[in-house]
Amino acid sequence: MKKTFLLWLVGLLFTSAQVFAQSRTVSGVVTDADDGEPLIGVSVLVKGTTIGAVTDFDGKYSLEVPADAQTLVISYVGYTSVEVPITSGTINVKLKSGVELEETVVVGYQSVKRSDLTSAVSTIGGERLENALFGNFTNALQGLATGVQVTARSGAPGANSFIRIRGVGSYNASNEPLFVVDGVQVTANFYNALNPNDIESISILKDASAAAIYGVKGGNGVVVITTKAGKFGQKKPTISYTYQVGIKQMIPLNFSLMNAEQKLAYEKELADLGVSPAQGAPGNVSSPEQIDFLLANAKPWDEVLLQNGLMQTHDISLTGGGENVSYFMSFGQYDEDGIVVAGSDFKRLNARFKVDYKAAKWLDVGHNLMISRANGAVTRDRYNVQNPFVAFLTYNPYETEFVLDPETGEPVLDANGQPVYNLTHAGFPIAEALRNNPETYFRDRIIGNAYAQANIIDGLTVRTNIGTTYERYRREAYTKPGSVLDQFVGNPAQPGSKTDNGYDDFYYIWTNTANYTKTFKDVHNIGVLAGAEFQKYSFDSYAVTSRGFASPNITTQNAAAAILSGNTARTEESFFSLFGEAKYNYNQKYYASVLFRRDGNSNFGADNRFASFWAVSAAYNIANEDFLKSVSWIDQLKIRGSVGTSGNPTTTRYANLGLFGFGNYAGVTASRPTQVENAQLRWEKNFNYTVGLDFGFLKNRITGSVDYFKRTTEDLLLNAQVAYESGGTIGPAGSPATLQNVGSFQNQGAEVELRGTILSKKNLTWDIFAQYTYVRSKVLTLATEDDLFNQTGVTILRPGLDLNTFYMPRWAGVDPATGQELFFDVDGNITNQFSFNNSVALEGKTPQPRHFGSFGTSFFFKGIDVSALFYYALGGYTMNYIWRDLNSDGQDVRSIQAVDAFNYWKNPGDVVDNPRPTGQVFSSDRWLQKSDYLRLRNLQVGYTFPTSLLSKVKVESLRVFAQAQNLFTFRPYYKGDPEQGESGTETSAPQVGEIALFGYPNTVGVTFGVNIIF
Amino acid sequence: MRKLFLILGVGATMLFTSCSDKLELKPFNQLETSTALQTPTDFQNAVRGAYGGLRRGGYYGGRMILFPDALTDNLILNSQGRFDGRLEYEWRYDAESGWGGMYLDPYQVIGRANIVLANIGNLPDGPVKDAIRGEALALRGMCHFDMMRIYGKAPAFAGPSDLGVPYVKVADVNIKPSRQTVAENVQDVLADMLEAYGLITTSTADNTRLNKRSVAALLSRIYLYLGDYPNAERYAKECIAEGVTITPAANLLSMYQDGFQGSIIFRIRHTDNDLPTAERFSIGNQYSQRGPSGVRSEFNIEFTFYELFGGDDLRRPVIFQTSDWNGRPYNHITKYFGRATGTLNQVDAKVVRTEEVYLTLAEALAEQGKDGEALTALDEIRSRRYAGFVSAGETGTALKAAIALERRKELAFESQHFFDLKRKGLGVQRSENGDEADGGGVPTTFRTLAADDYRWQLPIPQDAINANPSLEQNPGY
Repeated sequence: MKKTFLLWLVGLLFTSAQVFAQSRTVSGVVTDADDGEPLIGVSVLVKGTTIGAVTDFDGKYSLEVPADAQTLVISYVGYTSVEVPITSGTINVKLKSGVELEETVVVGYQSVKRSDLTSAVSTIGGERLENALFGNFTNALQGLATGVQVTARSGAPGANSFIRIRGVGSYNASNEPLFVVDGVQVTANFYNALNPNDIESISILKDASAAAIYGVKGGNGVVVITTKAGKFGQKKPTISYTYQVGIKQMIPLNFSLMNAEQKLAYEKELADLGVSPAQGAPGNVSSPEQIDFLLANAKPWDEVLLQNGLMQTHDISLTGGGENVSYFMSFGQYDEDGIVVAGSDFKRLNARFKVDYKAAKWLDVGHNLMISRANGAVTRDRYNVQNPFVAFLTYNPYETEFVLDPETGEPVLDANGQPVYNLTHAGFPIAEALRNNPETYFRDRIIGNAYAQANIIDGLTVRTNIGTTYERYRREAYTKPGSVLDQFVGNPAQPGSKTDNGYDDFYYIWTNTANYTKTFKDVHNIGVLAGAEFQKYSFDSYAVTSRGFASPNITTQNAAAAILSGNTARTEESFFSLFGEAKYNYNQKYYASVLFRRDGNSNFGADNRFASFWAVSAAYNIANEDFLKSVSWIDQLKIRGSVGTSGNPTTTRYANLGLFGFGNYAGVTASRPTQVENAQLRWEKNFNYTVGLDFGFLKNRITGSVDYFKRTTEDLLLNAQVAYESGGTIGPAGSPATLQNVGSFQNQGAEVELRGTILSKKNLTWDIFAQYTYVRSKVLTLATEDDLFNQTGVTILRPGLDLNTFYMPRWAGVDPATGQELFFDVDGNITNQFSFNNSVALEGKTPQPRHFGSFGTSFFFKGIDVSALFYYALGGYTMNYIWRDLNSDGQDVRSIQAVDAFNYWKNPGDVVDNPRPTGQVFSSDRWLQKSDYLRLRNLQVGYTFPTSLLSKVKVESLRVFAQAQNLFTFRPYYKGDPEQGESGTETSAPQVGEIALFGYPNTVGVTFGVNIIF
Repeated sequence: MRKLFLILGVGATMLFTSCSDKLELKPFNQLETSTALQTPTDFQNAVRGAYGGLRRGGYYGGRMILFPDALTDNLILNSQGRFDGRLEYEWRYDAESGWGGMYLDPYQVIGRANIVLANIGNLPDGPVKDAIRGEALALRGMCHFDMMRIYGKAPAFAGPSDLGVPYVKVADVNIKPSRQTVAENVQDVLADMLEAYGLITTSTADNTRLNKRSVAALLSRIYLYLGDYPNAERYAKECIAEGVTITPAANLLSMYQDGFQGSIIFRIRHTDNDLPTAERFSIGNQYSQRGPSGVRSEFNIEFTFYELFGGDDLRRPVIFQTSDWNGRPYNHITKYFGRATGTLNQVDAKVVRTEEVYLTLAEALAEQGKDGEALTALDEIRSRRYAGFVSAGETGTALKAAIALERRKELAFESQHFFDLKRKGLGVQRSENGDEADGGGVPTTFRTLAADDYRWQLPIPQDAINANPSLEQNPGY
C-alpha cells in the first residue's frame, strides 16, 4: 500500500514538472462592472493550482499558465468571484460588486461551503472586529451573532466578556464556549491575548452537530477563530497601518448623589430622628463655622478618583505571498489608562507571524506564532473602600482628599513635606493607596501551531497539527513602606510588604486527522473525517511575600528584611480523544451527516473517565431543486436540523479525589481536609436539538435565518452547599460546598436574523440588519428534595422554576400611617416584621435576560461610511446592592447617599419610596431591579479618500474615522449600569448579572483613527 | 516522504497505545484522604489542623474576641469609627447580617476533629493514640459548648425543648442534622470533655494545645456556666494543682504582648506565617486600628465601667490608653495592640488563663457558702492587681458582688461578660454616657437588653438554613 502511494506521488511530481515546461502567458485588465474603474489587488488564479497573480494599480495582470490550464478564478474582496475559461492570451474581466455569498465556513477540524452546512453556525468577519475600542476582542462580539449573549465581565481595561451561547450552559463546569484558534483549543487567558485586528473570521458553532466534534468541551458551543493569512500569488507586499486615539469615561449615573450641603443637612435630619450612626456625623456635631469650612472645601469624589482614560492603538501588518509561500506579519499595541486616576492601566503588545508553504505538490506545511505581552495594574474588586468604585460612592463630598489645616485651609504636611491623606470616615484613603499600594502584572503569552498536510491520493488528505499555548504570569502587589495601609496593618520594625506571585501555564495539543472527500457520478458527494487528539495542561505557580523595605523605590524581594511566606504549587490535566464524521449529500440538495467523539479526561475517576458523544444532522437545500431554479426571487432556501450530545468537563482538577492539604499551626505542619471524595463525579452531558431555516430573496437583497433550539443538560455540576454542621471544605462563597452532579435543566429558545440591502449602487449602499434571540432556562430535576441555593444566597434552583430564580422576602412598601417598612409574609399578608422566614421564590425573575439582540445599519456614500449598532437585553433582574447602599435608610448615613434618600416618610399620610430611617436597611426585593436596556453600542463614521488622489503618492488606501462606544443607554428601571457581569468577586461568587456590587464600571469611549495601506 | 508516513504512523500509534495511563494524574500538593491519616505524625498534623480552624475570623480569629463584650455594657461604639459591628452592638442582628461566622467556623474545627476520630483506629493502642483522641474530643466539646452558649438559652433557664445546636460526632459531608436541645448539648459536651480529661494524662508546657491543665480549666468554665458549683470547684482546683501562675502586675503588659506566658493556660497562636491564609488574622483590628495619626477605635470602654478601674488599679495604665482621634479624646483598649514588635494588632487569642480559674473557683466556693476559701481565691487575684491591697474580708452577698466585679474587670474584653450575664439571667443596662474619654460625646440610644429578650440567643445564619433546611431558626428572627 505504502509503495503504491509512493509511486503515485512520484508520478504526480513528474507530471507537474512536465506541465511547467509547456506554459504560456495570459494577461488582461480587471475593472469594476459598474463604473469601469480598474481594480487593484485582484487575485487571478489558475483554477486548481496555486499559480496566480495580482492586478497592479492599473488593474492589469499577467501570468504564466500551464498549457493544460482551463480556467482562471478571479476574486476580490467585496466582489463576486468569477471563473473565466482560458480561451486566448488576453482576458479582460469585469467584476460585480456585492457580497460573496458562497463563503467558506471554518467548522470543527475542516472548512465547508456555507450552502453545505447542516448545522447552526454564525460567522463574523474580521472586519467587524477591526479597530475595536476594547482591549479584549470578546467585548466586540456583543450584538454580532444571534443566540450569543455577550456581557462584559467588567469595564476594566482588557477585561473579557462572558459569552453565553443559547442560554446558560452550566455552573461550576465552565459556562464559556470552547475557543479554537487555528486548531489550538485555548482557554480564556489565551484568547484574551488576541489582537482583534489579527482575526480573519470567527465561526460560532451553536448546535449539537457542529459542537459534538469537540465532544466533552463542546457543550457550551464553540468559537472557531481563524487568523489572517497571506495570499498566494499576491506578489506585492501590502503594508497596512492604523492609529487610533481617544478617551473613555464611566457610563454616566442615571441618578444624583447628594452634594456636600445636602449631605450635611441629611445627616442633621437623621440625627434628629434618632438614627444612631448619624449622631456623631459632621452634619450633627459641627459648629456653623466648621460647616462653612467643610462646604468651602467640598469636592465630589469622582473628580478626585476618576478620570477620562486615554486610549491609543497602533497596528501595522505586512502581508503577501509568492507562488509557493504566503505570509502575514503584524505588530499591535493597545494602550489604555483606565478611568481611575491610577492603578488600572492596561497595555497589550502583540506580534504575529504566519507562514504557509507549499512544500510540494502534495505537501503543505506552515506555522503560526502569536506572542503577546500584556501588563498593567488592577484595582481591588471587593466590597470596601480599598476598591475605588466603592470609595467614590462612599466618601462624602465634604471629606477632602488631604487633611486640611482648620485655620488656613491648606493641606497639612508630614515630616517629608508631603500632604497628609485624609482617612475619611471609612478609615482608608484610596487615593493614596492607588499610588502607594500598586498591584501590577505581566502576562507573556504564546499561541503557536505547526502543521503538515499531505495529499495522499485524490481526495484524501492527512494532517498533523501540533499546537501549544504558554503563559508566564507575574503579579506584584506592593504595600510600600510608609504607605497608610502599611502604617495601619504592617510591622513598624519591618515597614512595607510585597507579594510576588505568578505561574507558568503550558499546554499542548496534538491532532492527527485524515479527511477524504469524493464525488461519484457527479451527484453523490461523500466526506469522511477521522482523527485522534491528545492534550496536556501543566500549571506551576509560586508566591513569595516578604516584609521590611528600606525605600519605596526598592521593589525586589532580595532587598527585604524578612521573607514572610513562600510557596509553589503544580497541577496537571490531560485529555485523549478519538473522533470522526461521515457526511453525504445528493447533488447539493439532500444532506446528512453523522458525528462521533470519545473523550477521556483525567479530572474524573476511572469509572467515569471516558464518555462518548454523537450527533446526526440533515439539511434540504430547496433552492437547488430544479422546480425552484426558475423562481427568480428565491436565491437561498434551506431547512436544516440536528440532534446530538456534547459535554462539559469540570474546571476543578483532581475533582473526584478526597484530599488532605497542608498548612501550619503555631509554626508546625498541620493538615486538614481540602476536598471531599466523590468517586461518582462525572461530566455534564448536553442533549441538543435544533431546526433552522436559511433564506435569501430578491437577489439576496433580503437574507436571514430562523432557528429553534432546545438543550437539556444532565448531571449539572455544581459546587453545591452542604450543611455547615458537616464541617465540609469551604467553597468559593466562604461556606461549605462540594462539587456534585446535582440535577438537570434545559435551555429553550429561538433566534431570528434578518439582513436587508435597501440601496446597492456603486457609490451608494445602505444595509440594515436586526437580530433577536429568546432563551429561557428552566430547572428540570434536582438530586435532593431541597432547593439549592446559589452562593450569594439570593437565587435558587428549584425544579419547574427558571434557572437562578431570585429568592428573598418581598417588600410591601411604606406604611403611610407610621412610616414603617412593610413586607409580605409567605402567605402574602402584610407585616411590619422583617424576617428571612418570609423569603419566597420570585417566579419568573432571574438575572438572565430572556430577550436580547441587536439592530443596526451601515451606509456608504462616495467614500463616506456610517454604521451604527444597537444592542438590547430585556427581561432580566439584578439585585442592586449599590442602590441599597446609597438609599440605606440611615444604615450608611455616614457615607454619601443618593438624593433620592431624602424622599423618606416624614408625616402620617406621606406616600413615599423610603421608610422612616432607622439606621438599618433590610434585604428584600425592594432592591431587585429590572435590568432592561437598549444601548447604542457602536457608532462609526469614516471617510475613504478616492484612489485617484492616492495612487500618485503610492498609497493604496487611506481612511479616517471616528467611533464611539456605549454612547447612549436607555435604562428605564435600573439605577446605575444594567450591564452587570461580575462584581464583588473578592467577596462572593455571583452568577452573571445576579448582583451589582461595585465592580469596575463599563465605559463610554470615543476615538479617532486613521488607516493607511501601501 | 517516507519519513512523513513514518512519523505519522509512529505518532498515531503512540497516541493510541499510551493514552490510558496519561489520564491517571495525582495532585502534587495534597494527599489522598486514604493515605493522609496513617502514622502518628499524620495524626499530629491533623490535630494541629483542627486547632488551626480556631483561628478563623468568625471565631478566635476575630469575632469571638469582640462580640461577647460588644453585646454588653463593657463597650461603647465609637461614633468616629467605621461602625464595623454596629448592628451587633445595637442588638439589631438578623439572619443575614450579624455574627454568621460563629455558626460556621466552630463546625470547621469539629469536622477536622471528627475526621481524626473517625480514623483513629489506624493508630496502635497506647498513650499516643489516647492523647490524640483526647485532644480531638476536647476540641469538639469546646466548640459545641461555645456555640451552645451563643445559640441556645443558658441551661439554668432553658426549658426541656429549648434548642441548642446540632452536636456532630460524625465525619460525613452529607449530614443535615436538626438542632438538639440545650440539655442534650450539655450531656454531649460533658461526655466529650470528661472522656478527653481521662485520656489526656499530662500537662505539657505547650499552651498552644490542650493538655490536662487546660481541659480542667475548660471543665471548670463549663460547670460554672451550668451552675454546677461543686464540679466547677473541683476542676478549678485540679487545674490549679497542675501548677499555674497568676501574672504579676509587673508582667501584665508582657502577658498581653505574648511575652509572659505564666498564666496562659490555653492560647491560640496567631502569626504572620499562618497557613492557610484564610486562618491568618490580626485579631486586634476588631477593637481598633493604630496608625500614624493615632488610634482609631471601633469600640471604647464604656465610661461607667472605666470609672470602676480606680487609681490604685494596676491594670488601668496597662490596658487603657487615652488619646485623641479626629480631635476627640477616647479611652482605647490596648489588650490587642499587638506584640512588642511585629505586625500591629497581631496577638495570640488567650482562651483560658489562670486568673479566670481562680475567679471561677472563688465564685463556685461562694455559691456553696464556702466564703473563707472563696475570699482567699479572690484575693489571690486582687492582691496582685491593686497597689497597697488590703482585703476587705467580704462575706455573703458582698463577697459574691466583689467576685463578680473582679471577674468583669480582670476578664474584660476577653470573651466572658456576655456569658456571665447570660448564665446569671441578668440583662444589659448601658449608661447614658457618651463615647469620649470623659463620658461626653455621642451616647448610644440602644441601652437595654432585658434578661428575657430573644436576642440573647443569636440568629442562625440564613445561609446555614438554606444549606440545611432542617434547622429551626431561633424565635424572634
